[in-house]
Amino acid sequence: MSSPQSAHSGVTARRKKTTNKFMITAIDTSVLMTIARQGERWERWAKALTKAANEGPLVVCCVVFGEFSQGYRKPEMALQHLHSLHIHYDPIQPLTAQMAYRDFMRSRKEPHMLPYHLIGAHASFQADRLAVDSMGDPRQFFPMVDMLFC
Amino acid sequence: MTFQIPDTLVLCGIAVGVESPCKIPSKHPAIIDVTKPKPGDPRIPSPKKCSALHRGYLAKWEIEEDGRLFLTSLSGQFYLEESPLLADWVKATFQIPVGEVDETLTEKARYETIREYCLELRVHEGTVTQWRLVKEGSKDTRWNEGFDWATIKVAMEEVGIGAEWQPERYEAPKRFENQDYANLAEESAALLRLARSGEKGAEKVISLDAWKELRKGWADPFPDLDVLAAVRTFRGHGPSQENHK
Repeated sequence: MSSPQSAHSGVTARRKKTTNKFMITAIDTSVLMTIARQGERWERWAKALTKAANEGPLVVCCVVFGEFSQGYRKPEMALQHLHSLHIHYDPIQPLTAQMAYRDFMRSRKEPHMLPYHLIGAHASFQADRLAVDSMGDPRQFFPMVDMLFC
Repeated sequence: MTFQIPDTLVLCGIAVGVESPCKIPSKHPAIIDVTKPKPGDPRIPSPKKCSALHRGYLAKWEIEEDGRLFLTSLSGQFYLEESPLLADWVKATFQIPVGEVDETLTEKARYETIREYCLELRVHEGTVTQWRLVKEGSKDTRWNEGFDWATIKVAMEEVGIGAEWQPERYEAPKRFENQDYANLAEESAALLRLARSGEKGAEKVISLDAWKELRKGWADPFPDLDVLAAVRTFRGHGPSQENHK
């Protein structure tokens, strides 16, 4: 696994701190799965994301959408369900992709770390915080991203 | 095969559609088979055929609170001379799908509607002897002895049936056109632009109940793994043994 020190260091260095009063919240697959399964903490997450939606848009990047939509037979069903909850599909922009790969190349280049770099870069560049669940300590995967815990 | 019209079972006062559990005994003295020629009548009966009713009859069953199973009405190939009739010939299992509908099935496969849970009632000589409520796809083999009407009713309500017991009317999902994708993308992009510019209108109010909708139509790709292990599997870590549920 990539060392926490190396991942996203470049992303953070280039990150433009937002001064908006609206907070864009990127959601990780772990949160969507917790809610969809209606497991132990799903109600706490539902309340937290309801509050987050009052503060600004909820978004998922293409990696998270790709993972979560595996539970649906058709992607449009996933898109409809997420859209009904005001969760927006936010594709990764060219700058974000470049930064994600730059950090990935600086790290140990373990292939399984690539999704974390993409999700982390998306949360850093195109959102204000990342909602993550059930990661043990999520900071080992997304060290420099503002987190929404529950 | 065409979707077969189900029999009706009245359980705890609620009528549900069930797959016919057993054949109707055509030689039972209280059951008349209309397809057999009547003595003295020269006409040859010509039973009507229907591809949605290959078994040829529709039955209505009822289970009383003491667990006894009655046949209350028959139509089609048979009719009842006395009603209700204690169904003491039945040695079968009623499988009653309950809970939420699995909406991942395509429109063409709707003849095999799958629900979240299955209430199974094992009937022996006209009396329910065992019952259980199992999750769809579960390999649990435990049965509850007897017929505990109150517990069954509570269990039914817990899985979200009760008054909403009858299958919901199915409406085909709207087919997404390219324009819909474009509209969604445009709407999302406009909202994000709004949020990034700090203007009002980017916030949305979501009701807590709306989150339950996320579960509908979503089939868990890794039901045996906890969330952490499932996400790690998505990302190529491979599941570790300790992360299994």
